[in-house]
Amino acid sequence: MTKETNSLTGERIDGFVSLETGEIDRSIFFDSAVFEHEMETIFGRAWLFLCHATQIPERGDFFESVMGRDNVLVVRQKDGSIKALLNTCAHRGNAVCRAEEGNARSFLCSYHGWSYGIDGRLKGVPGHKNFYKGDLDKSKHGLREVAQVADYKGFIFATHDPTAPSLDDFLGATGRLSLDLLAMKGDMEIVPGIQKFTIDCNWKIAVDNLFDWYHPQVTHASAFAPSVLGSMLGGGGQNGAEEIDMTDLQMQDGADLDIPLGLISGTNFEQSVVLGEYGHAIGGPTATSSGNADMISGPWRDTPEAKEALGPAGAGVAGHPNLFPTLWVVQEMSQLSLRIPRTPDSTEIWWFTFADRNLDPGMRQFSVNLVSHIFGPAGLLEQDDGENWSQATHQSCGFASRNIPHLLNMGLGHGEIIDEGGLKRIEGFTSEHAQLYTYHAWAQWMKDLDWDELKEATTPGDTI
Amino acid sequence: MAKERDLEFTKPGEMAFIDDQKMMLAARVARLRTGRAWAEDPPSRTRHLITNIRVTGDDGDELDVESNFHLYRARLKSEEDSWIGSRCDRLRRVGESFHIVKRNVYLEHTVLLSRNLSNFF
Ligand code: FES
Ligand SMILES: [Fe+2]
Repeated sequence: MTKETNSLTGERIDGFVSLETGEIDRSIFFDSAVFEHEMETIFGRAWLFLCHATQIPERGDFFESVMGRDNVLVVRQKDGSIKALLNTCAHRGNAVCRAEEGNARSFLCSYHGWSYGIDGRLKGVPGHKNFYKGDLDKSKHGLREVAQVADYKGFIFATHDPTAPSLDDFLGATGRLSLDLLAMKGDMEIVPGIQKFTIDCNWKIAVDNLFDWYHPQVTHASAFAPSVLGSMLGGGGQNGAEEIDMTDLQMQDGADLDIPLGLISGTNFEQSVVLGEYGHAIGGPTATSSGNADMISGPWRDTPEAKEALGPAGAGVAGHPNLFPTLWVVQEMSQLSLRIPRTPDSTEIWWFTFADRNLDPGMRQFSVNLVSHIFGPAGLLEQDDGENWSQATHQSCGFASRNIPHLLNMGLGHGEIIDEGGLKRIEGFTSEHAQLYTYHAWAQWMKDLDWDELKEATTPGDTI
Repeated sequence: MAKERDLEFTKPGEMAFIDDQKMMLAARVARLRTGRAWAEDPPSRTRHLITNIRVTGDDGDELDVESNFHLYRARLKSEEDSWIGSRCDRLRRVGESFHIVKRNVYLEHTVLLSRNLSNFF
């Protein structure tokens, strides 16, 4: 399977990411040839998250999602099934729907008036008799369906590749665990209102950050200050963690950045990293780590259903999963954060928020409020992320600056990979294993390997 | 499409970009004072332009006031953001002045074009 789309040879791609040194070539963050190649080999093939089933419960309900640069209408059908249709008119390309979500009986193109059923079938063509002389075969010009659509516990995914393995296979143990960490918290439904905003950064910088438990203590120092969220996050800390004491932090002296104890990161928190096939990974505190800050969920892990779904190895995992390429499962807040690449240096962030249907109204209101205070563009944590990502992207472009590697070598060589029930995990403290492995998997995708080769090339070994 | 127009804004209890009580507003101010609020370090240069002020209700103690705003932000060397929308305020008469009891802000964006909302509306 070789495609002559641009000058990216396998050899050049291999040079982008080094598992030996933990060094990444910065050009992957701004090179437009790399971006074009990603649109094909990653976003043209991977199973991508579209939306949750509870967003479109009724017949004709739709939500417009994105696969690469294709806008896709996810539509609930008469028989309850779900179709994913490209939002482009079969006549001359116009969008057939301009709402981001809603309910439709049909989709009417505003250019020449072709109309389509919610199943995508072309129903009406103005002038079919007079102008087309009845020659146009309507059955051949419906809205194009995405190659494969499937769901896992209500999370709807699709792929453009008809030869892609099943969603279940694609997710594997790591991907299923990632979604179970949210799905098993209760009878989860979407809270209306998908927050969407734009960060002027490369999408991989945003993804790499979700595993980064090294940055919160500094990037989010203001949010964790006692006068801000510090008290709210449990003053004195859940599970005996201490509040962050930032008073000795000396910005000009890197040696002093090793903060004694942080609320969610720092030196004494046990972390686990899970690495999976196709590039899925999880990184962060364990469920019993003193650094674990799950504020709304209660003891959901103890139900028999959750125990069964997570399994003994998964039960201890409480970090941040990324379903390759771009879905962050923010399990502790019952949210999903989808990163949508628009250009090499522009990425949309979409926040999907969930709540347990059985939550009492007061608790539901508390959790909805809380997540808007933490994440999203106005969240006290996330406010401070965007500028770092933007600057990391743009300062990497310079003629000289681009030759400095993007460095992910923390803990390199110390990651012993334990295989337990198909879950491959590393026990330890804050590291950059999950990020580095994600870039490694990214490079394998970029080589456009066939599916078997890709699975093998993205299966973790014994160490990292 | 009338249906979709009704969906333009979420309702109370649903998701908003900002959904703050007084305590949270105080936390936002406290954050700016920590000296480590990086999104506002150095501080953005902002300007609020307020127009079309209309009093739509007045029960003597409190007023309902609607206005349009343009919040302009210049930041670092060459960055700028603009947010335009309307505000629906409930104001309470206190002496010669007013206190804000409640404020709903309706932005024109659906996808925000800014990388954060680190400012006040
Ligand atoms: S482009 Fe849609 S009807 Fe012509
Ligand atoms: Fe962050």
